[in-house]
This record gives sequence, C-alpha cells and structure tokens, in this order.
Amino acid sequence: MEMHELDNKIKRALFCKTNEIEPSEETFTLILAGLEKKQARRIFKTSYKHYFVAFICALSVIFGTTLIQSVNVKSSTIASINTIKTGIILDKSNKDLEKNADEVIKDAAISDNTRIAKADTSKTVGVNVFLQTFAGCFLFNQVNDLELYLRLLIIGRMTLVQTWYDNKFWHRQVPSY
Amino acid sequence: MENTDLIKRCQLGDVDSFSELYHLHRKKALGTAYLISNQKGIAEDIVQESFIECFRKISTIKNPEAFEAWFYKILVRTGWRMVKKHNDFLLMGDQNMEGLSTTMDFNSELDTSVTNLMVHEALAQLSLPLKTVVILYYFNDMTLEKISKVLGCFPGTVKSRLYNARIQLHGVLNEDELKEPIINILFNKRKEFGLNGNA
Repeated sequence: MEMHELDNKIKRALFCKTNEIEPSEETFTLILAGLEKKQARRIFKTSYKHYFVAFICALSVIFGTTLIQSVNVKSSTIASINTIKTGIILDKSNKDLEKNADEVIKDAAISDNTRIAKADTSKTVGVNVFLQTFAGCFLFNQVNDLELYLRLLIIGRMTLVQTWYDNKFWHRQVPSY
Repeated sequence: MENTDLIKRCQLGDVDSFSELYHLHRKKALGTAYLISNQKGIAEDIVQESFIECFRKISTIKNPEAFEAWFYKILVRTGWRMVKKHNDFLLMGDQNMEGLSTTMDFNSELDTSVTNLMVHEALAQLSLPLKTVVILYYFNDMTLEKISKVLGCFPGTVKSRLYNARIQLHGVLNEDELKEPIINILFNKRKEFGLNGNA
C-alpha cells in the first residue's frame, strides 16, 4: 500500500467516525454551570499555591525548631561553664581574689541569666515566626487577586517586623532568674 | 467576528463571545475527544472540562493567535487523564459497533466501511501518544510544529511518532487486507439474510 493511499484511508476513517457524534445543545449550559461551580469553590481548591504555602510553613517550622534547639544547647553550655568557674574560684586561697571572684560569679550569673532570659525569648520568637508565617500565608491565600510574590513579600515583611518588635520590646519584660 | 477578537472579548469576561467561541470549535473539539476516548459520554465530558478550563484560564493567553494550540493542549491532556481514569482504551466497544452498523450502507459503502473498520482497529492498537499525533495530524489538519506545541515536545519527536504510527498502521492494514475477503463474505451473508444495517 502506498503512503498517500494510507493517508487517505486514515483521514476518511477518522472523519467517518466523528460523523457518528453530534454536539448537543445542552453542553454549553452544562459548561456554564460547571464554571460557576468551580469559581464558587475556587478558594478551597488545593492548587500548587497551597503546596507552596505549605512548603513555607514547613520551612518556618524547621527554622523555629532549629532555633529552639540551638537555644537549649547554648543555655546548657552556659550552665556548665558556671559550674567550672565556681570550682576554680573556690580553690583560690587569696580572700581578695575570692571576694572579687564572687562578684565576678555574681556578675556572670546575672549576665548569664539575662542571656538565658534572652534565649527563652528566642524560643518564643521561633514559635512566633512559625505562627505568623502560617497565619500570614493562610490569610493572604484567601485573597485571590493578589499576586503570589506580593503575598510572600507582605508575609515576609510582617514576620520580620514582628520578630524585630519582639526582640526590641517584649523580651525585656521576661524576669531574670 | 474573528477568532482573535472573540478571544480578546472572552478575556474581558464576555459570556456571549465565549458562547460564540464554543460554537466555533465544539464540533472539532468533540471529534478529537471522541477519537481519543472512543466513548461518546467520555468525549462529552472531555469537551466540557476543556471549555471550562479554557474559559477560566483564557485571560492568561498573551497571543490570541496561539489559541488553537493552547486549547488543544488542554483538551488532549484532559482527554488522556480521563481515558486513563476510565481505563478504557478500546476503540470499538459495543456501543460503537452499533453506531457504525446503523449508519452503514451495505450497497454502496461496504468497502469503505470495512476499510474504516480496519483503520479503527489498527488505530486502537497504537499507544495513546501515537494515536493523538495521528488524530491531530489527520483529523485536525495541524502542522508538525503546531502538534509539538500542543503536546509540549520537539517537532522531531512528533515526526518520529507520526512515522512510527504510519509504519504500524501500514503493517496492521496490510495484514488485514489478507483477511478482507472473509469480512466481505460475512457482510454479504448478513445482507442475504436481510440483516442490513438500517434495520
């Protein structure tokens, strides 16, 4: 069989087959109904944007967790150093030095407590970062017409500002030990 | 009204223009969907889904002249998804056999119908990507470039798929041509017993 003959056969067969089916008049009404339905549930439909938002939330969780872990390590290290310092200073026989050392210990303890307090605040910051990002993502995802990069920009700014605010004012209200 | 104007109006949310656009493309779209799915019900679903998607996303088209390729991309993907979902790759189901036999004229178009039957059987043996290329090339009269845009692959891939499809079809049809006299005898017997297709 020649190729042009085959081409003609295929073409004829395909056109012949499609003659069997006729588009119905109801289809357009169904399309419009389907369109309205889809637009109505557009907000709740899972799309790639939702996955992206979930990814950001996951990142913020990891970030917050890492922050908390690093803070715990930091505070335990400070506690160990305090103990060693105390040991060394008690072995000293010179009273003046001992007295000074006590002051040093006291100062160190106070400053360490402040650092621990700060560290505890950092824990809150970690949690805050997660909660704010999550809330921001959720709220801004409801605004359909807003571009994605604009949403992310706003969320990022909000998170940064909130973190800065917490660092600047809120942590000072935490009592030291 | 021209296609480009219609698309621009659709982008502004004009439902009447969308209706016009639908009526302009529905027959070809339904035919393509039917050839991909081989089921009337699924074909209608594919067309509906595709037009819904089309109207939702039409505002994203920057070049209205590329509408056809863009629309058929949606249609083909929806078609593939639905066909896979229904797991129905059979070309000649019972429903189609009935439809074919009712429209068959045994006196004048027997040879054509038998040939068509063989072509459909041969097409059914092709994989979905090969079959789609054949449909777009022969039924939609698309160029290789356009098909490559619809399928999202290189023109070389389309060319290769078309070549492979032709080779396969050629092989199957040549095999079937040997069996053709048997099919003719069958139809002639049916005719003798008064079982013509219009009954």
